[in-house]
Amino acid sequence: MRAPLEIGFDYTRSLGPTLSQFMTALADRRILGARAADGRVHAPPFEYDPVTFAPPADLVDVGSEGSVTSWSWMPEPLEGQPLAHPFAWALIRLDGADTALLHAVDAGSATAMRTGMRVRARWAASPVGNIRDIVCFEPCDPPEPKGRGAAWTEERAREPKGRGGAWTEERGTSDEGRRRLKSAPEASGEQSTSDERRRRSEGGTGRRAGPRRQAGKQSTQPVTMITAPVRLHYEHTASPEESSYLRGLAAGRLLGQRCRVCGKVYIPPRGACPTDGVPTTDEVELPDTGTVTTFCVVNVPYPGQRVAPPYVTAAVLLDGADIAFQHLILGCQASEVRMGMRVTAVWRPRDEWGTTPENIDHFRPTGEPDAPYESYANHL
Amino acid sequence: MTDVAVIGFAQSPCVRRGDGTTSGVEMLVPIFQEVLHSTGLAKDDIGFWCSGSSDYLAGRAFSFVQAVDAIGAFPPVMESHVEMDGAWALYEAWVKILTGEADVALAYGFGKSSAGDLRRVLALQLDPYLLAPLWLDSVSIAALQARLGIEAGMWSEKEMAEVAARSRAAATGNPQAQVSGEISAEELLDRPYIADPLRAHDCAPVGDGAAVVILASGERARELCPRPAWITGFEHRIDSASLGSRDLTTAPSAAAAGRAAGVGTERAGSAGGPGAPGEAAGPGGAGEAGEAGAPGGAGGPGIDCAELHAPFTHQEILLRGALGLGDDVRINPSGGALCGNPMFAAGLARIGTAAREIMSGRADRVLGHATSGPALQQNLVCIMEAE
Repeated sequence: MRAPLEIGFDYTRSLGPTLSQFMTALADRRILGARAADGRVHAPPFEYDPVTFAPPADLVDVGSEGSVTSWSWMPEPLEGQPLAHPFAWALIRLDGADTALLHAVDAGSATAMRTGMRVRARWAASPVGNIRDIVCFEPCDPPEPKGRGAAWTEERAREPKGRGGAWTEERGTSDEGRRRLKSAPEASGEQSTSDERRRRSEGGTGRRAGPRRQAGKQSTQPVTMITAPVRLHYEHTASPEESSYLRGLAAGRLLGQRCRVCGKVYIPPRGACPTDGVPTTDEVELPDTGTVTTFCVVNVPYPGQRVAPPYVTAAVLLDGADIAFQHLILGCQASEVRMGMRVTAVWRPRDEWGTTPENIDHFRPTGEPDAPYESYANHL
Repeated sequence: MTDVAVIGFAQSPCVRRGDGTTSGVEMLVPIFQEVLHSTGLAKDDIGFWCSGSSDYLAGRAFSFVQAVDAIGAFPPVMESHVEMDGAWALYEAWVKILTGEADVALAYGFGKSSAGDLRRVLALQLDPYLLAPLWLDSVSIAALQARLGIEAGMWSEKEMAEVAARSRAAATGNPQAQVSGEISAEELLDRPYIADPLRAHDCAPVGDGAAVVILASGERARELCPRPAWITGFEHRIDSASLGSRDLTTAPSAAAAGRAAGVGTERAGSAGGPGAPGEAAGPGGAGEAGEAGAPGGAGGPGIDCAELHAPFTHQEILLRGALGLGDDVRINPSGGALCGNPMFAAGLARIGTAAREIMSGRADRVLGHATSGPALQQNLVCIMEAE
C-alpha cells in the first residue's frame, strides 16, 4: 500500500552578523559583498575569510548588475523555484565582485542565454530581507519580447494551493518603491531603467522574514532572522507485512507475523525479526484481548486532545503477541488502571473502518482477574 | 598501524522504484545474508555496525533506526550511523577497527530516492540562507559546472557522451545496474537536453538500492578471505559550500584526498612504497596525469582500476584529472554511478566494487571513490591493494 506523505516545516534561522547585514541591505535593494584578505570581493559575502578564517572587516556595496559566468537551462521549473516558466540558472559575477552569486535569470529561452551576458536584479515589490527579495535577474539588453507573451502572462506563484505554502504570494509593480540603486566603487551606478519599470515583479516569492518592513521605505532596523519554508512531498510505501496488517484492520482483524527462527509474534509486523534479522513470513491472527504491561496517566491538556485528562495510555500486549503496542484505556477511572489489567478492544462502528489502527477506538477493562506478572515480565 | 582489509561486499539491484519501505529493511536483509554467507560469518561475529542513510530521503525522522531490524540487533549490538553515504560509514568502521574496539566491522548504506522528488530533496543540503530558499536543484548545479568545463575546453559534450556510452556498455556485465546497453555517443548526442548543457545520459538515474561492505583486521581478514583488499589509504576532504566562490572545474578536495591516500605513490612493496604517502605527489592536475601515468602501470600511480562516484558524466572526467588517473587505469568496470546511483549507497558500492576487483584477482591495486554534496563538494578516496 502507498499513500502521500506531506512534510512541511518553516525553518527559522538566525543570521549572524554578516548575513544580517546582507539581508538588511537586500530589504533596501542593495547587494553587499565581503572583501577578503587577498583583496577579492565575495558577493554574496563569506562569513569567515576562506584564507584567514577571520570574519569580514567590512562589507561593501556591489552592483545589482553583473555578468553571467555560467548558466544552465531549466525547462520545467520545480515547485518553489524563483520562476514558474522556463528560466536559466546562472552564476553571476556582480559588478565590483570577484565571485559569483547563483540565481535565476528570466531570459525567455535558452537561445537568449550566453556566458558573459549582462544581467540585472529584478527586485520584489516589497523586499523584507531574504534572498528572494531578488525575484530573479533579467537580461540588460533583452531581445524583442516576441513569442514571450505566454511566458509573461502565465507567471504565477509556484506554491501549489491547498498545501498551506508559507510563501505568501505578493504581487506588485517593480516601479513601486523604486529607488536609486547604490553601486560599488568599481561599478557604474545605474538607475532603474524605464524598461525595468515595464516589468512586473513576480515569481511568487513572498516571504516572511525578519521584522516586517513597509514596501519601499528604508528601515534602519536590522534583519536578524529568516524563515525558510520547506514543503516536501513523498509517497510513503507500507511494506507487504504492514499492508497485510492494515488490510486486516479494515476487516476487523488483527494480523501479526511470527519469526520462524525464534517463534516470536510481532504486531504490527515489522518485515524482519529484530532479534534474528530474518524476514517474518508466517501470518498469525490475534484476538483483540490483552494485558496492560505498563501505562501512564495523561494529566496535561494540549491542543487537539481527543479525550479530556486525566486518562490513560498504555502498552497493551495482545494475547499471543510478543510485542506490546500503545493505545488508550477508557471505561474506568484512570486511577484504576494497573499493570496486569486485562483489557479488550472497543471497535468503532463498522461503517467507519478503514485501513487504520484507529478502527479500535480504545481498550476497556474486561473485569477478568489480573494477569500474573510472570506472563508479561519479558515484554516490559 | 593495524592492517585492515575489505573482505566482503554485496549490493542490491539498483531499481527505479523498489517495493520496499524507506526503512531499507527489505533491501538490506537479502544483502546482509549474502555477505555473511560469502564470508562465512555469523551476525554475532560482527563487532561493529555502521550505516549511512538520510532522513530527508525517507521523509521521516530517525529513519535509520528501523533499519536496525535488518541486523537482528538482539542481544544489543555496537552500532552507529552517519547521515552520509555509506562510504563515510565505512570510514567510521575502519577507524573503529584501528582503535582496537572491533576486529570485524560491517558498513551499509541504503536509500529509497523514489519516495520523494530527489532534485528537490537535495536542494536542502545547500547553503540554507542563500541557495536552499531558491530550491536550486542538483541537476542544475551539475549543469552549471558542466558548462564551465565545456567553455574552458576541459571537456566537451561529445566526451561526456562517450563516458556515458562506455559506462552503459560496461554495465551490461553488471546484474545490479539500473541502466545498461550498447549505444553510441553519436546516438546519445542526438537526444534533447534536460538541463542544457546536460542530456539525460549525462545524469545518473534516480533509483533505490543498498550496499554492504565487511572489514576485518590482520589475521582475521586472512582467515576469512583468500585475497583480502588491504586498505593502504583512506581519506576524505571537503570544499567550500559556496558554489559561486570556488572553481567548479576542479575538485581540490578530491585531489587532496587522493594525495593523502597515496594515489600518487607506488604500490606497497615497490620502491618508495606507501611509507611516504601524501604530499609527495603533485597537485594532481589533469596536465600531469600523462607524465605520472607510465604505460602499463609499472610506476606512477600504479592504480589498476578505479571506481569513481561520478553522478554526472563530466564529473568522471574532472575526477580523473583531479586524481591524476592516466589512460592505463580501468575506470568504472561496473558502469559506475551513471548506471545505478542509489543515494547513500552508491559511494560505498564504488569501494566494494573496487575491492571485488582485488578479491577476484582481477587487479592488484584499486581506488574506490565516493562523493557527497553538490558539484563534487566532498570527496573520499580509499586505496586498496593485494598482499
